[in-house]
Amino acid sequence: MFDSTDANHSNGRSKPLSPHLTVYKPQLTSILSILHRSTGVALAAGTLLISYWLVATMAGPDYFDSAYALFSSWIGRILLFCWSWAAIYHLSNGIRHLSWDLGIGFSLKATYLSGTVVIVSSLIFTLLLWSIV
Amino acid sequence: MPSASLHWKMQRLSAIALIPLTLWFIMSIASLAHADYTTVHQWISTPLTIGLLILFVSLSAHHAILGMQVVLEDYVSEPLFTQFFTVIRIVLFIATALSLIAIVKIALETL
Repeated sequence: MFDSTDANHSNGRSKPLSPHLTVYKPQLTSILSILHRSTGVALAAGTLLISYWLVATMAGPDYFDSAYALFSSWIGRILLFCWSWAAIYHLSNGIRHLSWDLGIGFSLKATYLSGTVVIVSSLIFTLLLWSIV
Repeated sequence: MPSASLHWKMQRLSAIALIPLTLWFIMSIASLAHADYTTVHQWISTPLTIGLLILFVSLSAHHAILGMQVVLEDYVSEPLFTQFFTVIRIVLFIATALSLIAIVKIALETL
């Protein structure tokens, strides 16, 4: 299904598919775009964790404690660290996308500058967040 | 409004609403990182939290479905697209429904 750029002709749906990510020369802008999508997909999966946490709290102290044990284990902490960075990155880069929707910051120079700001600030904010936890 | 324009508009509107909601949620979770059951239960029961949590949970699920549709459309062709997207919508719908039930039940317990 990833072999063709217009794989949908057989069923009358002729929307083109995106080209291979692997043949596209990586640049800061393309990497940030791919990261925006992959953090978005990860955050969609992350909503299941939020759901689990809320349901565990509803179910009572025992379930809450086992959820707490899971989230405070080393694997839970790594997961939460990745989740927090993904959320902060997606939010920051989302503001970048919204500014493009308003026609602001479209030049190549501005795009690279805002991209660098997004990467650096998302890392700083994530580390600051974890330093207070 | 054509469905593609509505999709585009809703994705942006939910994104804008989710900026303050996500910041609030992250900061709240961070401050509750070591909190016990009673503290978390009490936090969820306050009117402000109930309102913001319901908004955060529903809008993030809506935004997630809109976003997943865009990503899937770009990389997955029919008939797999419809199958994947249907499964994702069902899973996110159930998860969101469970979250909302949990929030409301916790809120009612403390009334």
